[in-house]
Amino acid sequence: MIRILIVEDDENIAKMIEAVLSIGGYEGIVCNDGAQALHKLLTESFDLALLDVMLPGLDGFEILEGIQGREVPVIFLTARLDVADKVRGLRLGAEDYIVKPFEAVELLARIEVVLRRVNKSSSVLSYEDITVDIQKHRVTKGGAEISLTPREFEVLVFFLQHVDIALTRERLLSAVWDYSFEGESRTVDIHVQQVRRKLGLQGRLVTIPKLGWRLERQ
Amino acid sequence: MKLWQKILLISLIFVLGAVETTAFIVLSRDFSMTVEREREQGVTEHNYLAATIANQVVYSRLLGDKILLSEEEIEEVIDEVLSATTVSVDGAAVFRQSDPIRIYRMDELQEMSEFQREALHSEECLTLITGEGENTRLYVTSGLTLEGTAYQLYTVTDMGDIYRDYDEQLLFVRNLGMVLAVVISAVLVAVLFTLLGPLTRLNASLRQIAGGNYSLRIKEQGSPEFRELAGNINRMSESVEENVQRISEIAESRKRFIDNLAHEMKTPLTSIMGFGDIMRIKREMSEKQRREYAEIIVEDAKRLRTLSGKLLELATNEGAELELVSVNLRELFREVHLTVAPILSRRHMTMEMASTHIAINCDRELFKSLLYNLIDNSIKASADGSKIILKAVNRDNKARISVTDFGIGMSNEQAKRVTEPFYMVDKSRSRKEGGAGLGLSLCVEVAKRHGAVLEIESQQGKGTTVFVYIDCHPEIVGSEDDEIG
Repeated sequence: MIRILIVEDDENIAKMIEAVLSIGGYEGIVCNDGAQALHKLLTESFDLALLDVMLPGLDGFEILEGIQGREVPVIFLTARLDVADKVRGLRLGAEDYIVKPFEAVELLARIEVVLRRVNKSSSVLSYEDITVDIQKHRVTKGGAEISLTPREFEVLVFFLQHVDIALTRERLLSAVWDYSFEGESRTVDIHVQQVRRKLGLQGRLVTIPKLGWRLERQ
Repeated sequence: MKLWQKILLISLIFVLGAVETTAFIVLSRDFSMTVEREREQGVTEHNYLAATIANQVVYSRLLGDKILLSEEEIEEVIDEVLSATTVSVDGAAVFRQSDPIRIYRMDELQEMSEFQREALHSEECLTLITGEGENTRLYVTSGLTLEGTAYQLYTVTDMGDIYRDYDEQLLFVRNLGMVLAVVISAVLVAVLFTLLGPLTRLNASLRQIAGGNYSLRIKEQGSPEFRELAGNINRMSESVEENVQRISEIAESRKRFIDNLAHEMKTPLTSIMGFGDIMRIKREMSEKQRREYAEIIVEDAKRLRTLSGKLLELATNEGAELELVSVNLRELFREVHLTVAPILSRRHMTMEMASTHIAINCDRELFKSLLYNLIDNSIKASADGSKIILKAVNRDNKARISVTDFGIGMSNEQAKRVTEPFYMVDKSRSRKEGGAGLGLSLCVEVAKRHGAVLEIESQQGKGTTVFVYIDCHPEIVGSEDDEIG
């Protein structure tokens, strides 16, 4: 199981992040003090660290400076959207920078991206008899290869990564079509329908009224 | 054109103008006197010549023992006199009627018909100065009666010399003027640069100040005007520096406030949004989880409510008019006690109150909220069953109100920062109590509006006392302490 260190001084936020991580199938370890977090990062092994910037004791930047050379990818969580801070964090080697407040799936998606970049996430996903090889861009169902357009492929991957989690249209849009997409949101619906039809996911990739879709494990 | 150039040019023009004009006037006066003298001299010599001719005629007649000399003889005499080397004029001519009979070195006379015509009818001695510069001549004429016949004597004197002298003098004055101009220029430039030197220095300093170096001070030296100017510039940059510093301090504290506010708002918001999102997207959730998440959401929403309430209080406090009335502190203490009594009893705490009859001028509700906030802080810092002392004494017409607790106390560093907005000594503890970190900032604001001062004395582990100093109202001023709570 992938271990993620949560460094956050607010108890409720730490608890929330832990819950979000468990939805994504990760193990979250909470630490609410900067110095302690640095010690943990230097002595234990983690696949990822979520660092709050404003912390008692050491702040997020100082922790990041302290673990230079350790191969732990870091995502910053901060209440402030400050360009200078962002640049400072990224220059110190942070993988990403998430501004509070954030949605659960957004956090999961960004974690997924970082883990894939550092090759920590598996490149093969499976759901029932469907297997998806992300690197080879191949989808098989019951051994038979299924041809998908690149967008459809990404939609499928996103659903497989978030099984049993409701995904909103906006989330899919920003994950698959990127944030800059300004087309019709109906596009998303059409792609989801295509994926459902091509992979025979009727009854499992369900539509949730006013929210979006969810790929449900039987 | 620069100032020094202007001053130099104007001074030069005036000095040279004055010198040249004076020299010219003096020279001209001198010259016209010389000309006059020369004219008199010419006339004297002319008369002398005329007398010499007349004498010679008489002498010749007596010598020849004649009654009258013939015209030829007279001409001979004239000839003799004029050709003699003793004649001091430069030329002479004698006319009978209008016919020239003898002309010596007087070639120009032909051109002077006007003068001759005039001379014919005049009995007196006439003079004429003609020609220019070196060719200036003085002509003198007078009638001369010799042996009953009327003659006209003309003499000419060369006046070129005095004109030459005059021209030389003019040239000398002009040259002297030029030399003077060079000398004066040099002296003026030196003087001007010494006088205007401080200006250049002032200018350089001002440029630095304008460039943002407000802490620069100029040396106050040089002439009184420059000293004053430097002094004024120093005062100006001083006040600019003060203002800039004040403004940047305000901006800095505002930025800090906004940063903290963003943090304090986003923290509960993040957990509300996160837990809400989890509840929304998760397919299945246990009843225990659902309740836990909902509880956290409500808790953090309450935090936001407290924060917005305090912010609103801060904002209205800033804008609202104070309703100043005379308030007896004893009564005020009793009212505050009523408000905090439920919290006190929940924590099994007691509050002792001691006050003389002191009246202060204040806005009743605002001042009550100040005391309430202070007592609330004290309760939060205290352990269950502890006590709080609320006391007021009169000191030199100033009321000293104190709120004392025997709770956890603060370090010096914490006590210094505790009035900063959003500063919390113990964040997690304060949050559990529902604090927003704005209570004491609010107290400071209220105190400031009343002209009151807040002082904090604290010892870690022993407790804290907050003093409020405010002017007494003169009406009810008691002296004896008596317990009221």
